[in-house]
Amino acid sequence: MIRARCIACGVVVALSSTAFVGVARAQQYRLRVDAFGESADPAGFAMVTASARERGPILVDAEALVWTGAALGPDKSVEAQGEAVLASVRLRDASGYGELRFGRLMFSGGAVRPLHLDGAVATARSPSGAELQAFGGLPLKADFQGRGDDWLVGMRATQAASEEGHVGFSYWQERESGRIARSELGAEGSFTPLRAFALRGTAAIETVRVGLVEARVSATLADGLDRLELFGLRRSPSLMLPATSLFAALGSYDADAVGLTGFYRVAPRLDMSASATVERVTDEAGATGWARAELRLDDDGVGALGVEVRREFLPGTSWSGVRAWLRVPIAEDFSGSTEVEVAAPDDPRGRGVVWPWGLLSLRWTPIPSLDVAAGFEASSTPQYALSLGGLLRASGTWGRSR
Amino acid sequence: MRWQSVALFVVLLGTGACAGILGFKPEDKTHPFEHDAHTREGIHCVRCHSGIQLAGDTGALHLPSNASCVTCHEKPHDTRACDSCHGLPYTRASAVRARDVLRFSHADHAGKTGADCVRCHSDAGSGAAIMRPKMATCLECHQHDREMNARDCDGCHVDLTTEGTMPDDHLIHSPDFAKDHAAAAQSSGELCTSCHQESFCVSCHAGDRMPRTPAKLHFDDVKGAGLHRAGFLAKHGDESKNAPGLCTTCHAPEGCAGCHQRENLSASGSTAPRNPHPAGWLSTPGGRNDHGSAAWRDPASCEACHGGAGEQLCIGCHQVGAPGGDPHPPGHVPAGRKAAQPCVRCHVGGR
Repeated sequence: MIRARCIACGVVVALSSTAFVGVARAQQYRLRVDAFGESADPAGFAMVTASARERGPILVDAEALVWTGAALGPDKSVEAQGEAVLASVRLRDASGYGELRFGRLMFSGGAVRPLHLDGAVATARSPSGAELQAFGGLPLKADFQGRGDDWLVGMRATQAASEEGHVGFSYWQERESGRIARSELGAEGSFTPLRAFALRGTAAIETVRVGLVEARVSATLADGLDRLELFGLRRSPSLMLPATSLFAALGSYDADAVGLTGFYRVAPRLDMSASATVERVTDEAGATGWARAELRLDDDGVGALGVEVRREFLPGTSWSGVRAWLRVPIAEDFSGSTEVEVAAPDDPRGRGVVWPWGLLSLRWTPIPSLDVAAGFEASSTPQYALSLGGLLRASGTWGRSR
Repeated sequence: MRWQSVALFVVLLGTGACAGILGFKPEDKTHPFEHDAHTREGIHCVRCHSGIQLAGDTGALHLPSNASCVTCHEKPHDTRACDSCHGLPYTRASAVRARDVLRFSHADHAGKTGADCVRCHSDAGSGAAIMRPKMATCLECHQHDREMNARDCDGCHVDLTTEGTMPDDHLIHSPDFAKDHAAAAQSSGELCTSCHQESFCVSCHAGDRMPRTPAKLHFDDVKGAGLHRAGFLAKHGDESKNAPGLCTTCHAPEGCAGCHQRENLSASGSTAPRNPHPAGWLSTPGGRNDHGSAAWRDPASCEACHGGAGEQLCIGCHQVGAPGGDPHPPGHVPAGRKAAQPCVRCHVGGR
């Protein structure tokens, strides 16, 4: 019942958002409909994504993403499902100094992790590069559980220094049933002393249990498309949980990672990339590495052949895998693709020695605004020795952009 | 020495044989149009691109035809169309695409520049394949500070969010970008929203509120990388343990329960529920109890099924005086008042 009410509420918000812009005779609008069906995990649904824009003294943008369909429920009965994932309106001062976004939206920025909420975000900017954001609303929870007295509020302040960098601070707090569940203080910064070199970093501290929730740093060296990035990460999974969770009492055990990622265009049609990461999770050390090569079969990159090898090593959860893919244009409006992966765990523990997976798909694009794709998937997983399934998707777009 | 020569020969032969596949093209076939040669001869652009100075925001591209060429080159050296060799196919495709995605009127600019095309098309004398000026050239005259501040790109870009043009000098999305993009996204202000709509962000970060992952929805895009591609379902247990907390950035912990229940890998499965935990997971005190280290590694994975009312299962053994022992880490300092959740679940009355 709660779910039905919330879905209805979301649809109303979505409709009102688009109607809002419709009244203003949107100069630009775009509507996309995706219909999707799957047999292995039986489900069928339609997803509608709509956006509209009206230009004037105030720039008005509206966006909505709504889906509905049916799937097999936990008790193997057909269950109707649906969600209004997004329904927001954005008003922008044409000079760029003020902005207001409201509705069902996602906020992210700086050290604030992406927040999905029913609420509003207000932004003010100054010509000197300062920016102040304030946000608040009702956080969206799975199945709309426990929304009785839940709310969150926060702010973010940044100061940019031309193109060379910025610093910023943020704070947000979330309450569940009136009790404080999260309270984070964040800092962020970037520094680009050279066009080819950039440093970035963010850090967030939980102020209820006092500890570092997550910190990220990266240094990037780039020359056109070629790129090398050194990165570091520390994350405390316990502190990412709300303080109201019993599992938050387990304390802070950090996961650290330091790694290097590179991308190199070896030839006009051949790209290579690789990454190596050293990790520490609680008191265990591990490493991850992958390398990937992709050869485009034509100048436009419509056809492509690629291979990727990966090795993840951490005691008890290590595996190695190789993935290959091929896409070939069969005719002007018709293309075929195949993708194959074989992964092997170091310690099968009765889950199978290898986990192969394969996909064969065909795509038909009779006109640019319509495409239909059908696929056949086969796999062997720890759960099933053999799993077969079909996939079908039809997508259409309509709109006016001038 | 002999084998080195053979190896070198094989490498050279291999490279030569694969040159076309790799995108290296011999210069005596299709090549960029010789704009430089025509410029040196003093031939004005409009002599071939006739009418371009009057072209508006839409309409024909005013690319020269064979008829334009033969007005000077009266005796063509080949029977094929001139543009089958002179000018690269992707150059023309680029011009067609620019017409679709950009708002630009040559008529508006011709008068202001005194019909000096080279003022913008500065590569006309270089023989480059693409004549379209870079955005930096536009900004030499059009500062657009106000539009930049407002992230209002519509004046020139028809719809940047659907244009799909990757900037050629920044933010190359590497295969693991989905996993690593946070630092770039979080520190770049609203850079991401210049090209990506909010629906793009929610397709991952709304987690369980979306019906399927982007990798599943776009199953035919086999070139795509990402967290959930290919046989992710088989590996997701191990992958989540290798990156504790990562799943939480998109999925609510409770999101796992629905699928595990449907697969009967849960105590609340509808038929013949099975234990999802491996041997040695739970034992009497002193025995093998792998669940402890697993919980410390990623407590969100426990909360996925045992959160809320399910917490009682843990409390049964781990409460004060019970055999499960103290679940707190060494040096645990109580946060705030014990009367607050979740301490009160075990510390009844603040004990």
